[in-house]
Amino acid sequence: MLLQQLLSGLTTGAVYSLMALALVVIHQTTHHLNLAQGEMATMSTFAAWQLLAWGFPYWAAFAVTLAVSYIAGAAIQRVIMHPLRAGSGFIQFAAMIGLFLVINSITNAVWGSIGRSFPSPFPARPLYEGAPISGQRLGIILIGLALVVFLTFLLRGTRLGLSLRATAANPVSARLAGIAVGRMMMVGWGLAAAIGAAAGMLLAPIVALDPQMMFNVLPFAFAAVVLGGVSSPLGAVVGGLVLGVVETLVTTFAPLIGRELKMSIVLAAILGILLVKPEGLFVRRTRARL
Amino acid sequence: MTTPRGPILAIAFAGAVVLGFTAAAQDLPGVSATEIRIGNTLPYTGPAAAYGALGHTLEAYFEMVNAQGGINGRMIRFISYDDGFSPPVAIERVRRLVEQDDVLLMFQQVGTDPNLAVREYLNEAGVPQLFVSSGSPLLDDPASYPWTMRWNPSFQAEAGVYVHYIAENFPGARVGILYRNDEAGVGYVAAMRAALPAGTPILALPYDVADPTVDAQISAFQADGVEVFLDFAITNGASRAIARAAEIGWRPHHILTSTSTGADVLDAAGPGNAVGVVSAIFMKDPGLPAWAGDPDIAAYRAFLAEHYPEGEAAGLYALAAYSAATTLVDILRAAGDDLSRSTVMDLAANLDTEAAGLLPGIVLQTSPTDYAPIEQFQMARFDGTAFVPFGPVIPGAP
Repeated sequence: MLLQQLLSGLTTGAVYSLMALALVVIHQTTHHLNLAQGEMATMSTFAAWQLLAWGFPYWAAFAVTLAVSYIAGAAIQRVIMHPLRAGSGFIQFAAMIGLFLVINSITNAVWGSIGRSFPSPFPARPLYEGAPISGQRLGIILIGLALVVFLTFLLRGTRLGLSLRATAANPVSARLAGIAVGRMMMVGWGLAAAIGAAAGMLLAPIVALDPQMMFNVLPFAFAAVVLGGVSSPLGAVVGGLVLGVVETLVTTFAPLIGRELKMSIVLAAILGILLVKPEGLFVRRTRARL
Repeated sequence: MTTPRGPILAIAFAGAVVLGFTAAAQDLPGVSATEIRIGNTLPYTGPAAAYGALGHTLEAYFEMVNAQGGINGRMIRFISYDDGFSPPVAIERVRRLVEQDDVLLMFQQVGTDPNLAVREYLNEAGVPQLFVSSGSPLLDDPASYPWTMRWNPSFQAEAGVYVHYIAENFPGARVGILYRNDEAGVGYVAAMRAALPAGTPILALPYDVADPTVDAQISAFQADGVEVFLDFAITNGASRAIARAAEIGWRPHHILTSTSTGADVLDAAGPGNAVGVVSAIFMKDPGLPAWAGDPDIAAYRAFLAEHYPEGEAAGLYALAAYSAATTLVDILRAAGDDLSRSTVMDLAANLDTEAAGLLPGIVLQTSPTDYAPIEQFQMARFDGTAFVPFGPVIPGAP
């Protein structure tokens, strides 16, 4: 039974992991923690739903949505975040709250507030009779891991990744070193928007598509990012999985204290871990050299 | 510092107050020669925004009534504000409706918590809180709150039907209850615990509106060996529970609260996943082919087609609002020119009639000591497209 609950927790955590990945990417490339990430992902998912309703085949709709989301993310950076780049962090924070509200309202106005079903590319059934995991959740975990490999390679193994990281770490030095900082930030937002769109399209069959879809997932994704370390794609995925497992175990095995306070317990556990390892589980401690 | 102006202003003010009172005594609140004002708040935004469909339906229905000449020559002005399902916001909006918009009555406010929050105020002010869209037994207390009347049958009555159904079909089975962690959900669980035979193994797990999934709860039920699953989740919570049970291959006897038997929940869950789910219902499922020739449902569909085409997707929310609105319009028509708040409340408290959209055999009945209009149910099973009634019309336990 414990094994079964562990697996069930992993599959719930997979939901949080994908969204956490999008947050890490935008942070790794722009040093923003994008509050509007969830709403952008929800809107992308509605766009995909619209394409499907117009008769696009699933994977065509998936690909078109990724491309459109990439362009929209880059455009948001260029039109809204870029002019505010010199302002204080608070101004950018306020802009992202504004983005959050505007995107949520537009989604609500265009597609309405009633939950819709969204197809899954994987079967939402146990892999075999009595299997502890469904094709759908296995698919999500595999796609999450594939994204980690891709992102780690992109950020660590390519010239583009190096430029992206340099831009985030120190925009001034990056520009002096000849990196097109403005373009890198656009690429970062675009990438994050595309990953968010992928997350949205994979989550929608599980949580049902409505304008509030990501509203409840995003806090868990933030928690997963903090747990795993804000600059580590692998950390984000593992953080999400751990969160899912702890949540499931608390619900099952802590009947007396757990049920009403489930989330408080999960978040207290995270706090405990961070007190011991403040930079997150998967980030090496940075040392200041004098 | 005193100036001659002070006392003059004070006298003028006192005069205005006296004049104001006389004017108010002549007119009835919320009613003019040409207009009847009706107030409402419900969640058009936020996690419970699916209920916004009720507001849109009411608005469309009153528009239709107005287009057909209104009520004894008066037009209905329906003023509905967004409360986001938040009790404090509901209080603020209701005060505005009563004190500034000057409504005759509050109608079909949605949700147990928002309605409980404004009940005290409305009863003190003597404003009818009519046909509340909630099933909480707390909102049915004519002795203490004579201005508050529910529409939906009480959770308690519905729970009684399920207890009977379980005792007859699955005696001694392990029971799992999924409920929303609010006043309504807790009320449901309390009613079930009280009514199930002593010694029945029960695992009751709450979920929060803010929970992205109910995966953990469903896994816990499965691990516990639950055989009869009482699913009191609503909107997205309900659809996630249905989809998740199918995804992990857990097949309990699934009993779903009637609140969640609408097309929105079942579509989002994937209708195939919900085949075999049973519920105690009181409305005709508009999606059931058997009702296609029913005059009630035909009139309802014609109304939707002309005035609110989006309502098709809202399923039972739209039908419930339509059903309550037709009853209110009948009451206002019967009141004639005597549209005082107490007359309207008297009429509502002496109903004995059928209402559009309710299952055949289900009668609206109220009296000054019985403020529960709907108290009967029929069990129904989902066949992949609609809920098909089976067995007799049964009274819910008190």
